Amino acid sequence: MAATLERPDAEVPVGPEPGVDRQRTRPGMAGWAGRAAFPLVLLAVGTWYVLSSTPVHSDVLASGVIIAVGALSLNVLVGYVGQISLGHQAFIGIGAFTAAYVMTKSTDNFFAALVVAAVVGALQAVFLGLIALRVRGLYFALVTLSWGAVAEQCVFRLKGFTGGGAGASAPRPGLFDSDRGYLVLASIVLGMVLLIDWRLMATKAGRAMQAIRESPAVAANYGISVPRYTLFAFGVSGLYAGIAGALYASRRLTVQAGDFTFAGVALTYLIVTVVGGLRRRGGIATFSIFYVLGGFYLPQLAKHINESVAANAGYYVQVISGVLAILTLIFQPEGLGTFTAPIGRWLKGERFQLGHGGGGAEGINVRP
Amino acid sequence: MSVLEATDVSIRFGGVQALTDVSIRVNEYEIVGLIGPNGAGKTTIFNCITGFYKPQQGRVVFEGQDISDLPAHERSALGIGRTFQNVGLVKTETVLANMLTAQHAAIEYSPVAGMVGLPNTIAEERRLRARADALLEILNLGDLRDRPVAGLPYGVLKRVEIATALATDPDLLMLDEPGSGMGPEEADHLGDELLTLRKEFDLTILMIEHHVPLVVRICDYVYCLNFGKLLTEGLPLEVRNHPEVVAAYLGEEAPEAEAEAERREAGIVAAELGETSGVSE
Repeated sequence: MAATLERPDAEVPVGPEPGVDRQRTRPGMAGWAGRAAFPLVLLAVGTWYVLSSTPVHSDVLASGVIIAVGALSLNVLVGYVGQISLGHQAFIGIGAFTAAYVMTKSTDNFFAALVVAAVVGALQAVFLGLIALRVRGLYFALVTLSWGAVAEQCVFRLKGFTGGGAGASAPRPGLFDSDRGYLVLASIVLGMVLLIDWRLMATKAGRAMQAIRESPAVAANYGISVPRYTLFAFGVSGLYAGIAGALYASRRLTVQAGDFTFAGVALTYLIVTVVGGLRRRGGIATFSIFYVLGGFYLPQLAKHINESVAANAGYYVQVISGVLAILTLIFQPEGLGTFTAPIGRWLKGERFQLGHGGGGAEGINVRP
Repeated sequence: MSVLEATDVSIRFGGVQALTDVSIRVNEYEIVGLIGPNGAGKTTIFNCITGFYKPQQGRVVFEGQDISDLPAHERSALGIGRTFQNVGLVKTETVLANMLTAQHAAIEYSPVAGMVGLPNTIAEERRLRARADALLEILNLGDLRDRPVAGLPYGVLKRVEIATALATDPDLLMLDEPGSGMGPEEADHLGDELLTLRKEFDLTILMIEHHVPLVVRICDYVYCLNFGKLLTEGLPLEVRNHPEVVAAYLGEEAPEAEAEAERREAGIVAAELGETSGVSE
């Protein structure tokens, strides 16, 4: 390429800072072996846990895996493109009822229903996105809140679509009918969503979303169509949500309008997304699992304290998760991702070191 | 041949007439300076040219094509690269990620193809990365490649921003006060750098700049704005010595409306950074 421009010494840019600069040294054979062993060990621990416990445990884990997919959907909106959604019960619920509808009305094929649910989820999200192009910030949050309420009160009560009060049934695919089998299926789907999410953020659309979140003006200046990629983000979010909904429906075997409430779904997913870490898919997936395991084991632990604590343990889980969310926002805005991100970087071949990979708190306007 | 021709551009924000019949012409391979006191409307005409504002009157023609009705991102894709007065970068991202984002318009694969990880997208990403690295090397910013933008000093950010503007592959580079915050000596080096860049990348440059010596040294032609109107235009030395320009810079009585207009403009730009919807009317 062209000749290097000369600059005076005084203006030579600040050198690499330890802890911030990425280590680009390549690991050796042993290093790669260790990295390859890591997911295998995780898989082994998971398999051991599933096989040594009752199927109920697998069902609990499956619910965590499904929350992970739903939280990743929320992460696209809140984390990547910077649009708040307080109506995610609509996203998930529409996916769930669509899957159930397809399976009861036309085909028994779970996977066909999954695809239809994903597409319908994407479409309803794009519709909401069209509003987001016109209304912003807090006002848009209100729109999503009302969209959630509309879905709860109207859409989910359409007798023809959701079966009204009786609910709709959603069978599992034969091969994955058992609780353990369904956990495997849900995990495979989560793995695929994680892969898609990774490629999304490593390519054009992901970068466009990040730019739009930071500044629509800068994004447009980079040649990015802000409306187009805002809608795209909504579509992707709805796609994940539709998938999560379909998985949700078949895990429960029947779905009812009452399953998709603001507190039960939208808030839970938001907390999981925030505590897991915005823009930290590893943290979100990990915390989803912790979240359901906590909800499962805490009441059992509470029995050792006394009966009244045990009776109300379900509420404590909610309180604890709420407090966790607040503490996360104050002390560790990157959530659990603070700890999972270094592992992710290590797996990609970088040296293991804690410390954030982008997104320092310092402002950009340091104009003298 | 003229690369950019803005004709009779007028825009008003509420009761403030920010620009009145401003015409600017930039010929190929020229470096054209835009000077004028604070609040004269320099950034406003930039915003009209790049599509952030929709002027009530006037046309903007770029390389023979009328772009007056195109949205900002399409103008950028056509070859207008621009830097902002207050640094327009994605601050949570690294320098490299910004360089990749800036190449958006040149990417051929569809967003969905990227999402599902088709092999050609991975190959193209590699090419984008190589191009970003090459550009950073040319601009001597290679060391900063993996640094988050937030936390870099202001002067460095200004240079990173020029790098990202170049990454959009512009024919016309519009610089909004590239030398702000620089001392005379640094401004002098900036001048050398811009001259070299013009040669390396075959650029046409339109820049707002307050360092008069820098403008006089590198500009081929200069426009001077005052109170939203073209005060004068001509060769750099003519403009600098023009009695009205001297008066405008040294200041006659600055009327209240002037300060008011500037405040409004600052507010609108701030609002604009939060929203992309046009602010016309």
